[in-house]
Amino acid sequence: MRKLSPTAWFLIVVLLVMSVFFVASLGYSDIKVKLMPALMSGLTIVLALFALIQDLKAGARQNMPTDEDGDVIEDEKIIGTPLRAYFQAFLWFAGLIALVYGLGFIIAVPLWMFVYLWRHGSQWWTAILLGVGMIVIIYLVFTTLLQIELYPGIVIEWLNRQLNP
Amino acid sequence: MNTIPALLQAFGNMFQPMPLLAVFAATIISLIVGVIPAITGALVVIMVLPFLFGADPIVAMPFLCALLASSGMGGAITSVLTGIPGDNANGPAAIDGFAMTRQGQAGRALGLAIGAAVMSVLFGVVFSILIIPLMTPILMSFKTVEMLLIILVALLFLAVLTKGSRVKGLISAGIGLTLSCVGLQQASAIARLTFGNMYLYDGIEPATVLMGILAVPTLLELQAEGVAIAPVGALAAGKLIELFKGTKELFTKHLWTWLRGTLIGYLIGIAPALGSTTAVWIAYAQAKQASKNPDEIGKGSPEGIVAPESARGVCASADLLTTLVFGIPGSSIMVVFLAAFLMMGIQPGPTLVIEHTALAFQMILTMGLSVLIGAVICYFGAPFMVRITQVSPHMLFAVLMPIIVLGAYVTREFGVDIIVIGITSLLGLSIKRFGFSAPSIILGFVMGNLFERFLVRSLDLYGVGLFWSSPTALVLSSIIVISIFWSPIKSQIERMRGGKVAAKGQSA
Repeated sequence: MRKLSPTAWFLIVVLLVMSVFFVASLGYSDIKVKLMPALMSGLTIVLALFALIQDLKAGARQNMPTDEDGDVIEDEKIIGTPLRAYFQAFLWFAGLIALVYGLGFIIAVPLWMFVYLWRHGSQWWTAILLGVGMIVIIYLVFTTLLQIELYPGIVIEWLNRQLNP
Repeated sequence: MNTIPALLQAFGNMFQPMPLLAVFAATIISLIVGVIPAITGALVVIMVLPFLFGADPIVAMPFLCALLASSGMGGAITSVLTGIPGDNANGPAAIDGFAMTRQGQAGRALGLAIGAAVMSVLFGVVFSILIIPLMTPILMSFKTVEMLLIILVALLFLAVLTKGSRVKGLISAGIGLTLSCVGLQQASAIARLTFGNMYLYDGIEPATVLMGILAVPTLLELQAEGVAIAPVGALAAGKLIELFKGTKELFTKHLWTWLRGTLIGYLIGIAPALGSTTAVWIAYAQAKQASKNPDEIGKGSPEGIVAPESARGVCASADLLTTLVFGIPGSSIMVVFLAAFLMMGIQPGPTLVIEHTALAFQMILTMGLSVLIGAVICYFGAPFMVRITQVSPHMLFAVLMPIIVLGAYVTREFGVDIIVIGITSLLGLSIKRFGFSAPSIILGFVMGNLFERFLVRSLDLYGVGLFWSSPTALVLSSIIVISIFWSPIKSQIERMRGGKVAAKGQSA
């Protein structure tokens, strides 16, 4: 079986999600309610199918860079930034999201900044200072000045409920 | 009151110490908050509103107008220097402005953005004062069908010009429009595509989509590449002279782009309910359509900054005019302005222009004064601001990522928005890597609700005949047909010409 290109995989995901939306849209009884989601998801499905067929016909080679003679360059480093580097960067971002969602901004931001900066060559005291400084500024601007309560995190909320029933 | 005496009185009121101080303070506040991605000008106007209760309208209303006028300028600085839109309306500037910054042209990009915005606001101020008697026929020409077709034109312009594949551009617009359907439908209050999830009843927050699709992938790219935003030596590009060069370039090379962006922004600004986010994307799409090098737009093209920034700048003054003259809010922020009027005992609408003509003129003039003050601050502050482009990518990533997550949360204070920004970022990263169109998704998403409202109403009124229901509709429908078929026809003609040239070459 031929290997699918990353674009093809993305189009398959789009097709699946839009198909779910399309089927859900058809369930609404009023035409004015279902018109827009059914029309848009339906059109997107048709276009995504067309793009997928085009991509499959062209094959994965179309997405690979070629040299002057038209031969495919296989080394991913030549293409530019490797996909792996993006993945690692996204993992750091996902880590921040998970920490904030679990522990809230007050704990997560300095903790994540410390770990991130320390792992990327900053001295430990710089990393601590920046992390703490950042959350102090965020607290002053958002909580003190703008009266916005920072998200406490589901773990901290759960602990609060346990300690203060 | 006669126009000329009212105008003179407005000038007199504007330069009194207290109103002048209020405008100066509001400009500085709005520039600062405009620079912070998580806080928009609209949010600040809402927050200061309770503090203006009982204040003199001659001081309070110009204060609000100055807040509105300059916040976008602060947002443009953030967009150009970091790639994070300071406000929803700064989205296009974040694409081309940041690309120019990465090429070491931060000063030039800032000069273009600030120059375009200032000039368009000044144009808007003068035009608004002149146009008041002509407002009614212009506003009456914007009916449901015309608004629907304007949105459709913008979506198609952006989608069909997506580099590499027009189908990918159309898929992107389709994704954006479908995602905009998530949540309660305004007309029927029926929950759609929520799958029983209470969080989705309010729909997906536009700021979350904007930051996830535009800002996060940019920062992930910086982190992955491991290099500073701009090349070494780019600090020189932030010198005052570079900013002036950028602004001069606006007059020498991009005056038509500026004028088109300004007119689009003004027309959309006076149309009720569309607002500056629509204006900037439509201007961006139009600039791409009209450009001699459409492939360059999105990669650091001055036209990609000038068109949307001029549309954004002028939109606010046009928006204000509709609110003042007709009492119809031109956008969501103008609803807050209406509340401010009522708080101060002033009834917006035609009577305002008759009974408080000087105040109406003062508010419009204040916007011009505010952007002039803002521009001076930006020009002289830019050489310091440009230093951000030399900060290590890891430091930027560490500082900006928490602000982005915070920005996603503070808009609605929903914890789930923190997860949603992760999902939209993954979508943003995918469309960036696989050649889909980020602007098309965003335009589809932000315009989805209006598009649906206009579509349903137009079908109710005219059926499929909506496309030729009026002369304006017919012109817009023709533009749609041309935008779809022009590109294939053009390439076919070029292929035929190329074939003839080759045949001639062989025979010679």
